[in-house]
Amino acid sequence: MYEFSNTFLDGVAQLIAIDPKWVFTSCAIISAIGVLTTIFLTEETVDKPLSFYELEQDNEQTPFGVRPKQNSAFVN
Amino acid sequence: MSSIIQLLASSTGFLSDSYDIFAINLIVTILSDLNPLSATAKALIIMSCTAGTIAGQISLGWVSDHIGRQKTMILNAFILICATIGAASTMSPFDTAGLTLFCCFRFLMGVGIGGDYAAASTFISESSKSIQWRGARISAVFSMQGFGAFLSTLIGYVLLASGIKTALVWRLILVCGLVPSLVAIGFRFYHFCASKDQKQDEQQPDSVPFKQITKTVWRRFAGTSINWFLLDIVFYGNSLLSSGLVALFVKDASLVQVAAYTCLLAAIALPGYWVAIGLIGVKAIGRFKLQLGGFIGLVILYSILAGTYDKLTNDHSMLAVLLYAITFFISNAGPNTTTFVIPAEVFPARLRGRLHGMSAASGKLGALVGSCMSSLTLF
Repeated sequence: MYEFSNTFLDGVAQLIAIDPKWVFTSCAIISAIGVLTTIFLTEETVDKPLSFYELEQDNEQTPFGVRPKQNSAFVN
Repeated sequence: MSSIIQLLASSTGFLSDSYDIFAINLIVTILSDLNPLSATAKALIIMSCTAGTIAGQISLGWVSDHIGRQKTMILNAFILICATIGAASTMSPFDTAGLTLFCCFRFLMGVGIGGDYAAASTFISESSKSIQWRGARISAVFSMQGFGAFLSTLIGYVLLASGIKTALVWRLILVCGLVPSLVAIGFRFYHFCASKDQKQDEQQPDSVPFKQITKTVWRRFAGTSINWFLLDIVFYGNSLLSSGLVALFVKDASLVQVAAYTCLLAAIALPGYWVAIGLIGVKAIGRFKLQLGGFIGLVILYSILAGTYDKLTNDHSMLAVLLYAITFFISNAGPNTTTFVIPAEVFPARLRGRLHGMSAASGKLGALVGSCMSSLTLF
């Protein structure tokens, strides 16, 4: 199995043995996608972090319920 | 006092985790120098730990929600110690049997490391008394990643430069990782015993089925996991192979020179974590802007490196190394820290371990993709 994957992956490596500058090009593209996902998926409220008590109240309608006291109970 | 012990228990563990992750960078270069390894063998050695980390983040994140953070942290350190001893005592990683055994131990090390991502972050987050300092405390624990990376390269460089047989150096690099692990398990056990008596009125969090998680939580999870996935493709794709890239920048460099340059990269990257600790709690900046600014900075720097690669490697190799080092600095001051901090703060307690673990696992999946792509391209 290892011998097979060795031959196969070495073949793939040779096939895509491209200039290492493409590593940096791909990194630039992926970072640009990161800019977009940060804008659209990261809530700006992360900068006003709730206490864990508030966070539980934030989800009051869910089965999480409301914590009667702050987070210390969960540091078990 | 308790607060300091909590920080030490989390951070020493994270230091050993990071040391073990990044030590492989130089170990692969040393092993290749001893006996040329195939591209597959290199990729397997690098990726086995990352695969184990994913398994650990998902499974031990779930475990931490059930048996508690502290017990999971002790378990993580124990797994890491056993696996490190196993990996360092592998007979020879050059034949198929030796390589398989070495990769199995590296996988197991990854499981312990992955468990720490979920348990140590949620532990330090939940034990913070003040919301204002919570982000800085989590960032401080995470900053040990940089210190561990720096320490692994520094120890590698010192051992290589001291003239010890190369065949022994890679084992010694691994064995040195045991020191912070042993310190971590000591602190964790001490804190667990000390806090046991104060917890009689505490209750275990109830289990919450995934189908009952609200849309808000899923959206937050999408944000934390996708950003972590993207960042780790870039971050680990580069950092796990920085020795190989440095060797491309500085042509005809000896093994000791490559180790010295890799150490320099880690040293320049390290203050990035401290910048994040300082700025994460500042109202005018904060988590969102740090992450956004970091990604924008990476786009600019990688575009410069890609656009001027030939010129830099031919005429200005030191400038290339410097620019490359700054990419790590920016990652650490921005998204590398925020992707770790945010999931430890935005999920409800009963899901926090699991969802932080799963976000981190998606990050490590990105690391797997990044290191696989880079290793196939570079080797």
